Amino acid sequence: MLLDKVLTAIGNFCICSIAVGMLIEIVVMFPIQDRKYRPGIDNLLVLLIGGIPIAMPTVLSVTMAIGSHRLAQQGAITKRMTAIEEMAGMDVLCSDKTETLTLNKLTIDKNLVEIDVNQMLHLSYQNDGFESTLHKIVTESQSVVFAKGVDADTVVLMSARASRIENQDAIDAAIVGMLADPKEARAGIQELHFLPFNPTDKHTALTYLDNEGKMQSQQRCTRAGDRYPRPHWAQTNPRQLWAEARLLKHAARGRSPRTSRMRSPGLELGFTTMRQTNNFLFPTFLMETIGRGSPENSVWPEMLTTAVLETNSNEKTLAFIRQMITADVKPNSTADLIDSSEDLLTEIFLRLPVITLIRLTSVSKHWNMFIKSRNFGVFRNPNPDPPSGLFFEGWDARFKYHYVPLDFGNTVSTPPFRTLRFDSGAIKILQSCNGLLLCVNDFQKYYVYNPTTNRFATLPDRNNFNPDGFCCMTLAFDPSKSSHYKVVCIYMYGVMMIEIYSSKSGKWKISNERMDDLVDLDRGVYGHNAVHWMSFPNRLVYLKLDEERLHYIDIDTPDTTIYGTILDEFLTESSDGMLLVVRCCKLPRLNVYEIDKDYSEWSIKYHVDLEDVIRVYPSILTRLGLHFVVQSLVLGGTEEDSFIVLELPGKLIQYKFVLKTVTQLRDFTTESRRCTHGGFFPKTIFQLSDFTPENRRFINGNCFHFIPSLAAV
Amino acid sequence: MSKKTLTLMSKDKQLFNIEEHLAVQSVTIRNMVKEDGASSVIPLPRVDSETLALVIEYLNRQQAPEEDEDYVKKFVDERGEIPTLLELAQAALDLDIKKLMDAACMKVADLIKDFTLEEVREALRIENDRTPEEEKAIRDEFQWAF
Repeated sequence: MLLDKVLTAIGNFCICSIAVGMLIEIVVMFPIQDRKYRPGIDNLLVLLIGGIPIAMPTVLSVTMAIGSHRLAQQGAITKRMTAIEEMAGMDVLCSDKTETLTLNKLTIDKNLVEIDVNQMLHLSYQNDGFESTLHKIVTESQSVVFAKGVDADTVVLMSARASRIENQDAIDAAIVGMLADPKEARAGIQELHFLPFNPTDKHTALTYLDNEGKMQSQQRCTRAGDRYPRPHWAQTNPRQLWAEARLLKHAARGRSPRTSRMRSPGLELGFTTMRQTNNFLFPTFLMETIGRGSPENSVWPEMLTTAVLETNSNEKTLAFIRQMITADVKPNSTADLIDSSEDLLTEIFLRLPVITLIRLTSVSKHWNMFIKSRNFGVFRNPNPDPPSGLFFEGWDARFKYHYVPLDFGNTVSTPPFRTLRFDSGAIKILQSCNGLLLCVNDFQKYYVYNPTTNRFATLPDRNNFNPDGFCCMTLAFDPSKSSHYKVVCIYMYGVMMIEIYSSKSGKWKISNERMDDLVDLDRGVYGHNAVHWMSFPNRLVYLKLDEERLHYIDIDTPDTTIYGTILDEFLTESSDGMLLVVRCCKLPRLNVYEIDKDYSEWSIKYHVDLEDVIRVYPSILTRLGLHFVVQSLVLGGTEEDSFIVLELPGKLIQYKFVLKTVTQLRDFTTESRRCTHGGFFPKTIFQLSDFTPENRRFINGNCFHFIPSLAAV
Repeated sequence: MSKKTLTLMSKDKQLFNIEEHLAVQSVTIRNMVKEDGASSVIPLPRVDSETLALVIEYLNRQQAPEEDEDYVKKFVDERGEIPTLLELAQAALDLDIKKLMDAACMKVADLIKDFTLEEVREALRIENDRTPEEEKAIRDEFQWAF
């Protein structure tokens, strides 16, 4: 607006000057010098043509000059003239540091100071992993980790105490500025030691005596600023996640081992996070307040208790505190080292398999709490372990599961369970998905169960619930994307309805999509944020979970083109795309197809040659073709690790098809007499007359992966 | 390019010199140098001198990038003692030297993976704060893992 006005003004000025100049020229040339008409016009034209192009850049640069002059009056320096023009053309200015930009000052919004005692308590209650420790965690939390009576003002005061009052940096100034009077930051306390911010400790700390005299309380405030170095795992993630992770990381620090070791009845620890409004990354402030009751009933380290009891003089206590402070930065044994740094513990634990972590929970109470904590889970769960074993539905008793350890990953040889008894009724596994099992009991109650931690969640009834109706559920859980899971339910309600449950909201939601294909409903496979089904004939149907839309992919595999309809197929998931395992008709092999990421084509990924299996187990080659059932296909981190699990009559084998090694997992023929009639598979299947090369069908899917995981349900 | 030298100070006040272009492999030091030029001594109050000597030995390595992985592995393997590794890992974590931290933590994880509980407690000097009954209860719950 202003620019327009200035431009017009200068433009007018130039035009006027030219006009005035011409007028003078006319006056001088014709009346005074009495020139001829033609040369006079020529002279006028010279002025006109010469003046206007010169006037144009003049307009612009003079405008800019005026603009920068005005800006200079307001205290802004213009580095580049054109910036003014760009600024004038701007409607909205987006900045992630608004107040730094406008006021050159950090401020803290007191309303955003979060003291979420109840919620934090709730979180640890809900997600802390394992039932047996639940009670302990809650009681400990109430007495130790979260202080009552900490409000926003206290947080600000504590943070101010942890800030410098002289030689302040921007953050110090912002925090102290929150107080009505900056002097309050040191009012009524005697400062003993101030630890300024340094890159190793990443916090500031003040140790002081309060005004109640004799060492009634010692307070330590910690402020972790935005200079906290980024841990390496955050580097690839979006910034927001990093902010969140940092909040969590700080939350983890709230329960530092130091405080947990000093646990006592009179000890209180306030834990809060505070957000700064001006920074996109929400620098987090964390503070701990360690208050202490009378020395008699406290369980402080022996040294202190004796120091206080023996002398009760201020100097001694002061000396002791100084000692404590120096001890704080000087861990002198291994135990101190690993216990004082949850960061280090996290880094080491992140590199251990889940099964080892489960074992390590027995090491100490602190490790138990740490491993089972939600915060650690957030870091650990995105890298799930490979499957350690397989569960097979029992052939000898209903709802009994047989466990077969795999020669892969971190072998777990003892079955985590034989029957599922975590809730009433007989419970049956429907699906295994990245560490969680989807289960159902006799009364149509559905559960999501983590066999590793032995925790379960009961799914609520869906909207159009009909206990007698048929429905098919598929669990969708990908810990690398989200710690929440979804369950897709397809059921008949006039038409095939789709409902989606999300553990985030805890609710079922009816989708607008209707399934109108004849799909193999109970074989839903989750992968790549979509649930996939094979439909008849050879159509891939998938429900994208983020947009909740069904897609139909009508592309043939080469096998279909040759033989028409494939009956023999099973769908599984890999890190790159969906896999389709097809039994090759002519050759003793399996073809593994992979669908492209954009779902445009099935391309062959592996030819699993079964010659080696036949060489070891010639009995599978019969007059009616090859007698085997594919139970599972697992692609390892490296190609050599990939394997299939085959059930042959009487045997269960693992075949690493890249290395071409065959391992026998089970031999049913030598096992107890009860299973003489077959393996996990009823023998009758192998004997069915229609189990012929022309008409045969994989009957897999009663085998479930056991993937150790700390995922919360 | 002039070779600037930085001075690092360990917990026990020993000074170590290192060339700046080598020291900036540590993200923490890089940030400090960027922030204020770090002309003076950089104090590292959590790192003792033996560990800092190791860290500096690592930073001073003259390895082609493709041999780096093997070198770090060997470097860590040669110091197979858990206390040393922990100190090293902690220092690498504080100084944000990713490769060294990865390797040291990985080595510790590998070492304790197959330890029994008693061995873990002994190696890391952690005291068992549970009564035998409590320990048995937790063991029974996750019997399959042992």
